[in-house]
Amino acid sequence: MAQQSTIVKDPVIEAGVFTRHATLALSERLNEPEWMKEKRQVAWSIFEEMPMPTTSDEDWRRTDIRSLKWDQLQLSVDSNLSPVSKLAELPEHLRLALDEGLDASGRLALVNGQVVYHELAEGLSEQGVVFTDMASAVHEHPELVQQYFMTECVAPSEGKFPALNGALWQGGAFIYVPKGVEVKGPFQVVVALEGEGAAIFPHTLIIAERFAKVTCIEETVSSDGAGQALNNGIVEIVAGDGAQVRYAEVQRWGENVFNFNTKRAIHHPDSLVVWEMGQLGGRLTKTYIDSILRGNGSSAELNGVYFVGDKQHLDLDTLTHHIGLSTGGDLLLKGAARDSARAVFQGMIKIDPTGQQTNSYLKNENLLLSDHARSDSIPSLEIDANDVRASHGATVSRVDEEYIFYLQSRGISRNTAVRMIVEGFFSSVFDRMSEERVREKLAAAVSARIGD
Amino acid sequence: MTSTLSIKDLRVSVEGQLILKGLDLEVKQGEVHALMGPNGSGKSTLAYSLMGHPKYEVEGGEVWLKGQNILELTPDERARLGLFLAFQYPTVIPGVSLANFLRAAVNAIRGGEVNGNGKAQVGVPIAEFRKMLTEKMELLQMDKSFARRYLNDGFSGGEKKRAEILQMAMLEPEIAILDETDSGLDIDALRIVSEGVNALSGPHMGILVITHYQRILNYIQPDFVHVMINGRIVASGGAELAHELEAQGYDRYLKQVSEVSR
Repeated sequence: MAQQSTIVKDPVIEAGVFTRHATLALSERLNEPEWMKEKRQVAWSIFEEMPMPTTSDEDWRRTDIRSLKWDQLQLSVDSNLSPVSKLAELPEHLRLALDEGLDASGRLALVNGQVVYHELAEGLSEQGVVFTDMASAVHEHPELVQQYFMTECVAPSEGKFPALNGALWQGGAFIYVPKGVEVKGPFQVVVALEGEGAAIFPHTLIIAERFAKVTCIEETVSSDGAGQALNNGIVEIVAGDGAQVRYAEVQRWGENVFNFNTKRAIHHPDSLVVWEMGQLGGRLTKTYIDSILRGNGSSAELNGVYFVGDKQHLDLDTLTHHIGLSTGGDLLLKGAARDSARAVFQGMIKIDPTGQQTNSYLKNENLLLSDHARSDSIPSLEIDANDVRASHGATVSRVDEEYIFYLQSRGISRNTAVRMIVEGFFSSVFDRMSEERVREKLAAAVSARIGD
Repeated sequence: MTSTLSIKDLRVSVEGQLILKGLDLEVKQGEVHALMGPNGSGKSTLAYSLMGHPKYEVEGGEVWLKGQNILELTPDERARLGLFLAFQYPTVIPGVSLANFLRAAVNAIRGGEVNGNGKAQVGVPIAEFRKMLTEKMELLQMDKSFARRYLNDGFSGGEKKRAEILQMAMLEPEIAILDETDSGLDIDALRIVSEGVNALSGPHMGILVITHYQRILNYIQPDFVHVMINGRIVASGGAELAHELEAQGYDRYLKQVSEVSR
């Protein structure tokens, strides 16, 4: 019998767009110090060695990424936007994403990884607050970046996509809030993808020291490109003792964007991190949101909505990992799928033997708006402590005909009735969102999607 | 012109079983009719069929209102034509506030639906709507906070019934059907709800009160009383018929029906 060996070819390496050479060139172009160059090279080596996830991996069982054409992507597609010094000079869609007209502590616009606009409210620098883009932070705050960038939060070795981000990251926000400082208004960031085949690797790092308080709202947008485009992002949050961090994301990529994200918060004692999320766009999304509750008394909250249509595929993974004593988790995600879209939710509550007196809740509810839409909700529990309270719930249902009939009996048309019921379904999540501008934006986006 | 709800030989089945077996009834604007009958006689089936619930299969007959056979219309078209049903068991709809729901309904009935961003294109101006809502809620002795609460969510039995009559007050139908509105109400709630109905009734509204007991008719005076047994109306008369039923029960009519079917 002839010996058979199968060499699984790596589609990224095959395509030859993202290479070690490109990684080096990027370091060169950004004039990076040796240590960051080194971090990129290490990440690239890890990337090369790791296999591309396939549907035989448990996490990826329901998400097949083979339709992504790696050879049609390009690194650093130049944007035809040059940097501006006034918010008013930005194109309208970026100004809208940055909530022009509302108070903010700072604003940052990134187009294809390049900074096109940056502002920071007066007085914050004096208090030691840093709000800038990641590449600038490498030069201006090397000690902080060296300490926190892909060290204790997200490591390149965790997966193919985090490794690729570690090697090719560009853009993303860097936020540092010193001990005891409370930043009042939110920092607002827009990450934009423009042009056919554009690929971006934003990397955001938020460090809140002891008892610091900060909110960051990020919105993602893209131009309608004919070809595929890629976003592969990382968000790292380090919440110090008693710190409170709110991170909101309004994801509205165009329907040609393949969207991969790893978002994680490391909790020190008594810290609180609140994730607020609206996932609306993208051709295919795979996003991890992890809360690592290491510190005693720390807690995590997530208020999320998603709405997919056409042929969109959305896959969300949450992890609430209780390590410290007396930690809390409260996750509520609601989603709707229409047309032939598919939504997948996998949520894990993991309680270590050290995680006594944990309170952890996870709830995922799904509404199907057509016969061809599909939704899978897979919550799970892994509990190794005996004095804990943990529960999860998952539902997938259709719009109740009795609800429709009741509204119709009052003269409301079937279409309007369905819209009201779907809006009502999401309202319990919106009610929990603390940032009004995020809530309003998401509610409007959801309404628009039901109507079109 | 006076609108008339005209039911002719209506036959309706539920899950393959014939419940209404040829029912005839006319309710004119300005009249109050009471439809009484024992459990299982088909009273609620009549209410749901008139409003167009998809579970009820119309096997034959016609129901006319304003020159249209409403059996051919969707439930919302029937409502917009001036028909209203106060439900025995109102549906709980999470996340939809009573005020928003009423605004959508009022705008739908008065022309001009609510569009995507929740703003009415045509319809009742918001100030006028609020004024109207406050007045009608006072009439039904409902606390203002109800307007912000989710539709029927966590409402007690009596609160649900009051909310139904509030909807009737806001929508000002020409023909209103009250399906067992008295069930589950204590004496005070029954009085408030009945007074509300009386305040609304008049030459512009025809009312069909469906009930098992005579109790509600102490408050709402019917012009006509009908007895329904086994899917048909077997006797009609004036208010005195209700008192007779209260005293003697349905036995006499039940016997008649069984003799006829023998």
